[in-house]
Amino acid sequence: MTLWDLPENQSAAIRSFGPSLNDRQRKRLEDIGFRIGETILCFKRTPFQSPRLYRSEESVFSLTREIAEQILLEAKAPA
Amino acid sequence: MKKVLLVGLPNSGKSLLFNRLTGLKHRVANFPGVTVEVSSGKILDHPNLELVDFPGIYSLNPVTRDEEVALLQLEHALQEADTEALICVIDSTRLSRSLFLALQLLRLCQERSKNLIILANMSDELEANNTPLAAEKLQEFLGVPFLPISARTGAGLAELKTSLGNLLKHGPASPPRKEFPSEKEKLQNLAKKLAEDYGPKSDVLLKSQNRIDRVVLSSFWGGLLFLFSMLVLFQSIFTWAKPIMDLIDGGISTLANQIVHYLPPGIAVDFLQDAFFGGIGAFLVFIPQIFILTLLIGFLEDSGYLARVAVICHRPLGYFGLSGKSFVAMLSGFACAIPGIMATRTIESPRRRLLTMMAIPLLTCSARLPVYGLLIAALIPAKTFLGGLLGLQGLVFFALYLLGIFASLLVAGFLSKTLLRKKEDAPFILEMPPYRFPHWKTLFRNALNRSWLFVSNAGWMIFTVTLVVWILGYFPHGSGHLESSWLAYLGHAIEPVVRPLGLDWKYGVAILSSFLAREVFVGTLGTLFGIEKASDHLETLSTRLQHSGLSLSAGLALLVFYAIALQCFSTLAVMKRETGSWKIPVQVFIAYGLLAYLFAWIVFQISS
Repeated sequence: MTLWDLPENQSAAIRSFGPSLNDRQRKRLEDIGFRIGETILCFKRTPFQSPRLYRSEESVFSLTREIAEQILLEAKAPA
Repeated sequence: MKKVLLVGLPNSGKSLLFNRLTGLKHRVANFPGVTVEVSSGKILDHPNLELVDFPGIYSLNPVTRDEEVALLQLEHALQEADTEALICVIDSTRLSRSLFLALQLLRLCQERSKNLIILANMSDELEANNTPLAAEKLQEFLGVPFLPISARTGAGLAELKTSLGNLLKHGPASPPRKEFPSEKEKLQNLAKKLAEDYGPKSDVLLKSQNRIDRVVLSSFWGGLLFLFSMLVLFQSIFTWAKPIMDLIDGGISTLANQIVHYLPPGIAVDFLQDAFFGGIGAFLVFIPQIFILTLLIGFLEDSGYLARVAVICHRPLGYFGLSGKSFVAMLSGFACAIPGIMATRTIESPRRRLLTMMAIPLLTCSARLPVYGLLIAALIPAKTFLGGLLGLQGLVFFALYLLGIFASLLVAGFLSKTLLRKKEDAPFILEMPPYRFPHWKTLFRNALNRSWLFVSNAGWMIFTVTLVVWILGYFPHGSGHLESSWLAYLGHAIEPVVRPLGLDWKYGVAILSSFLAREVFVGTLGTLFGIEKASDHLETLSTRLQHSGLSLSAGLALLVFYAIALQCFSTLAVMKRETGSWKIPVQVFIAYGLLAYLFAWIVFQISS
């Protein structure tokens, strides 16, 4: 599952980054708290494929589909 | 002179602190990336200390070209012997990421044997939410001064000045050699742990922000709020500013008539009446519009709403090759294209940045306001609706703003699909700043500064052009003989160019003189009609325009011409600086000039 697929008000830990992210983009994501192992919350899904809001640590960021799809999440443990 | 460097995350309140400490008035706003250049000033109470403000950085690992430049400048400054200390401004409400940068800077200062002071800004917000920060514990752990402050309220600044005083008295002493991990990941984990152990509760801080965001970013209420805020913004420029403009206009006329009444007739009186009051006075009338526009944009920016607008607009702007961040730069462009073009530095994608830069000059900047205001007042009846809340003149103004917006989007869309199709791109990441109630004093000061800057920058140019136009129009036969003046001779030579737009030579001269700066148009026309009429009583310029026989279709053509043409040398110079060559500004100048003439001609032909 990618970050873009994460339903609203649900969170999951980052497993890895997709191959389309370049070094600079990955570095920026890590700087703002989107690191492997970190738990990210999908705060708001917006209509019409607009950027969505995700909470990382103590801040909320807006990410576009092209970048959120490159953030791969841990599969949820079965209930 | 000894130096202290000011570094921190974007939108951590560095510039507000810089203004507080130096007494200077640099632009501040609640949006990441407002400071785009290194600036410096002397610290009040410590005139031997120079404070150097750097653009915000997320870490010491640059991602964008501008971050690379800022870090390079920081590195140079740290190597200078007269650099006494580095102040790291951290945002207490975003402690984990702020501490990561602080730890990186602490290691850097240890390597360069420089002092470090950490200022935990936004302490007032922590107090308001009753979620404190253990500053003493953090100071003990980090081994450097750690002071909670509020650049907004001024809390903690006295202690900071004492620390700086001690620094001056005792000289530099490198920070204690406490060992911190060198690996980025370990440093990030340490910052996170420190924030969890000693920082405020982020859930508490984000609670109200999240509640507002659910409404502001919802598809229905969010869209409605956006349309409403834009309508208020553009209506206010005309409707709300009108009483103040009338007051200034009346004041200038009274003053002019009084002065003229007591002076003997002659060349001095003619100059005062025609060029000074008629030309420069006509331009000064439009200052309230510029003030109100800047004030309202500042309000939107400081409240944190603009970042949400960037999210709302990202997708629609994407169809034209632009980004949500383009909207913020473009909104600044409504006040003046220069800060708008500089604000494009927050756009990571070089392609979208260039497209935004080329789109901004088509937006209705404040220099277009005097031109639009004059022509609308002269041509459009002052009818009102809804009990005076909406006015026809205001609606025409709004339509011109829409024209500017559509023109800029179409040009950006066209270029993104043709000439700039293959240029490098980068994705959109934007932090949502907290909602804050804007500080009225700061807002008013920013708006006053911007208005004064507008007057002082354009003032000398308008005065010079007005003087030249007056001399050419006054001689050899004096006031009342404009048709036989030197200017008429020159004007008739360029008349064939403006005749297809339904304009006579006087408008041709006014257009030509305004290629340096478009607001010169008003001053030139004011002077020309002043000489022509040679009246003892100063009429408003719009009244003179009405009596000059300017037809509605020619007036509309003129409005369209000014909506598209790039008549601002300063904008071209900034564009050259940002793109690194004259190639793009020159191409844009020629292309927009030709488009302006073509569309003005089409409008004249259709409407007449």
